[in-house]
Amino acid sequence: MNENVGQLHYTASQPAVGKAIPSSGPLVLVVSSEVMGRGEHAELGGILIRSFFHVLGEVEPTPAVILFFNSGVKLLVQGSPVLEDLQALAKQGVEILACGTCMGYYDLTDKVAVGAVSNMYTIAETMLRAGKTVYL
Amino acid sequence: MYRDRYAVILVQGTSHAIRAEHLLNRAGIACKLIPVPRHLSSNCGTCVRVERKDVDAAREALQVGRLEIEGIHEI
Repeated sequence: MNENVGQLHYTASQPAVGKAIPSSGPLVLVVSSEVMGRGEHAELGGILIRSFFHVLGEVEPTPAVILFFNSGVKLLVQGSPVLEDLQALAKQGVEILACGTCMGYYDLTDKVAVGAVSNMYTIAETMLRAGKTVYL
Repeated sequence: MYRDRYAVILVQGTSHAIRAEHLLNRAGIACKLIPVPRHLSSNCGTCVRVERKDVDAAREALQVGRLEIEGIHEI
């Protein structure tokens, strides 16, 4: 009688099909809203996100990439309350990428003041290749 | 990076900090809402940062607006 019948054998060098392999890629911060958190008062969320980006330049670790999509792209244009902080982060070498579809949806494409307008291929690849992804 | 350039004005809470920002903007004084620096308080509070050269004008603008100032610290 074969005792191995019905058993699957995987080794560390043979990951199961479809399983992700833990990556040692970059730290990626994802910003999908112009406010931080959810609550009944958007004004508070606006203050929190201003505070967050203010301290981001002073704390460790610094993200390698910050992705902005949905209403988060509104933070990248002229008049944004966090523009100065984002420009400082970009100067430090942080890559700032904006969703082009979202920029177009909000009619902000011509008003981008920091970062690069990107597409969903790059956004998806950046998220999937990240060592760690932090959602704001 | 900010050494010797700024001061923070501490007020009673977040709603007061928002009001302080409005008053300073109306007075034409550049300011920024920031978290209270760790060395001043461990609470999760918000304060207003101004340039040191504007501290006197900011104090006056807030007093005219009847906003109580809890403290002013150079950072």
